[in-house]
Amino acid sequence: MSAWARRIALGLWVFIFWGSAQAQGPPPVTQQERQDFVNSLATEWALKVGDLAKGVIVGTLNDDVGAAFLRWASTLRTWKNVHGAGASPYLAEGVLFDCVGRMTGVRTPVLSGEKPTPFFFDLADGRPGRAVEAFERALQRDPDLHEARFRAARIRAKSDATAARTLEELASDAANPLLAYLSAVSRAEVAVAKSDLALASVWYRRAQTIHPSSAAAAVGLASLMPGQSLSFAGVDSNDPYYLYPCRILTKEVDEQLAARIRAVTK
Amino acid sequence: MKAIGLVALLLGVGLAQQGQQPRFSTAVEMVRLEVDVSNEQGTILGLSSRDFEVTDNGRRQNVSVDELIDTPLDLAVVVQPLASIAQIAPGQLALISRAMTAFEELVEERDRVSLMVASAPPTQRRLLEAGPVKFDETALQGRTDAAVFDAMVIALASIAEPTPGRRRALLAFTNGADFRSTTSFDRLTALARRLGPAFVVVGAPVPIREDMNAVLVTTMGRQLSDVAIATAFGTVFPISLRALARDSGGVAVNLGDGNPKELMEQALRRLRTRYEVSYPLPPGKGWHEVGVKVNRRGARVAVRPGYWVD
Repeated sequence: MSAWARRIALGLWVFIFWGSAQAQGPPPVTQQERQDFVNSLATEWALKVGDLAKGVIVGTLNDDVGAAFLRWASTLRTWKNVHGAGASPYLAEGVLFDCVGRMTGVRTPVLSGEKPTPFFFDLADGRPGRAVEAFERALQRDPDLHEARFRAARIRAKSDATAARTLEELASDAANPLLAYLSAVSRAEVAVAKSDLALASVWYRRAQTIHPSSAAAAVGLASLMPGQSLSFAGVDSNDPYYLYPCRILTKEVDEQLAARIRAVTK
Repeated sequence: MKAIGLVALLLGVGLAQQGQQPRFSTAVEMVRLEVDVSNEQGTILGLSSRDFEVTDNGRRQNVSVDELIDTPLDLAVVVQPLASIAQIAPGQLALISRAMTAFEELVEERDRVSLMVASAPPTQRRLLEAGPVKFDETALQGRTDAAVFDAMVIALASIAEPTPGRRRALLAFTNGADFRSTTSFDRLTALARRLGPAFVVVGAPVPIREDMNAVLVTTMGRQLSDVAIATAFGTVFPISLRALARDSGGVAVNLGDGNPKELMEQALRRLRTRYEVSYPLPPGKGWHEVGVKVNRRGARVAVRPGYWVD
């Protein structure tokens, strides 16, 4: 049995209560009838679960990458208990859940604080919410932690006008051009999600102003003006927009996490 | 009961996504539809306008039909970095590599091909040009993250202008996993519907396995039966790839369905032969839903589901 199958086979138990069982047909009376009843229901549910997978699954994270995420999560568990650790472990936790929260449709290991979820329900679904909680805790400890502010706003902005305004403010922050750039692209994405393509164009262009060789802005604008030719030559092959989701941008926090993970793995 | 709740929740999400209609600002005088008609034996040839029943927003149209056989292709090819496939679906690598090798052999001198590697960010490897294609597997290793949707947007731009006598298509080798693109799946689907080129999406099946354990107990917790175990197992093909193919009038190639080389041959043969159905643009702004039927028993019709007029 492969590692991922072992993870799934943690045991998904379905307790069929007598009351609900009776509601589905004549009550089974003999032991054999009860067993047949349970067998048929288990089979029926397995078929439903198989159907469910068709609309959800794109793959399963390989063991090496899964182990790396588990090391990141277990390091945070101890780091958060260190006296005076401050905001850093919470920012690192938020980035972890922000990262894995994007992996829609991918089976991943269950990280600390998460419960195994039954069937093919996507763990990624609840992770952005956990990321926001962690970012808010980080901000309680250090209100000037701009990365936490940006990442929380990005996650919430599609349903929260205040968060969208936060992205706009950050996009205007000349003192922090990296977050300004990421905020501008993220604000454009919110506009696209709300079908406001004119506003999306404004924010992609703002992103281009901040980072003239932005690949994300070039693609975003091309998606808004379909049918036009596009020159993709000369765009930034290391565009931070594509690289930041699973990396901590606040250098000292990133270095602290890396050192702690190294210490754990030694 | 929890299982039923989950099914309902996920269906709800799917329906919400389907309800979002794309909005286009296109000036169209003639509606031109590329229509593939096939059955179990392959493409059905020899049909004329009398054999087609075409509706536009439910109204029957008088159409002209041209049969185009063995046309040269303009292909915008998108390849997901192999390292990113290995990260979440290592078992798919061999099948996808075989399909790519088959594709290299199937491209003809008269075809034109552009190539995007769907790394994060995407990388343009070749503009639209004639001549043989050779995938450089080292270059395709790349980063472990993929931006497939963004790469598709750029690839579509490379075949933005139709050329008479040639067929445009976007051909992607991918597992459908994308966690980096600025282009959302909904936006890409809208583009697929609008732009015209069919999407040929080549992917591999994903293995699944889930065990169900059931037991009958009373509300007081007394066990009334032995534990029954049932296992859901098999493979699934990413639904997002099927949706992109369907919404562009294209085809999803599931490499689990047979020999990758034969599947690629079939896909390209289908692209080279199709019907062009045209009719004057009917009045009315907004979404025009298109329906195409042919009077052949068992025939399958692949066509864009409609178009938008501002």
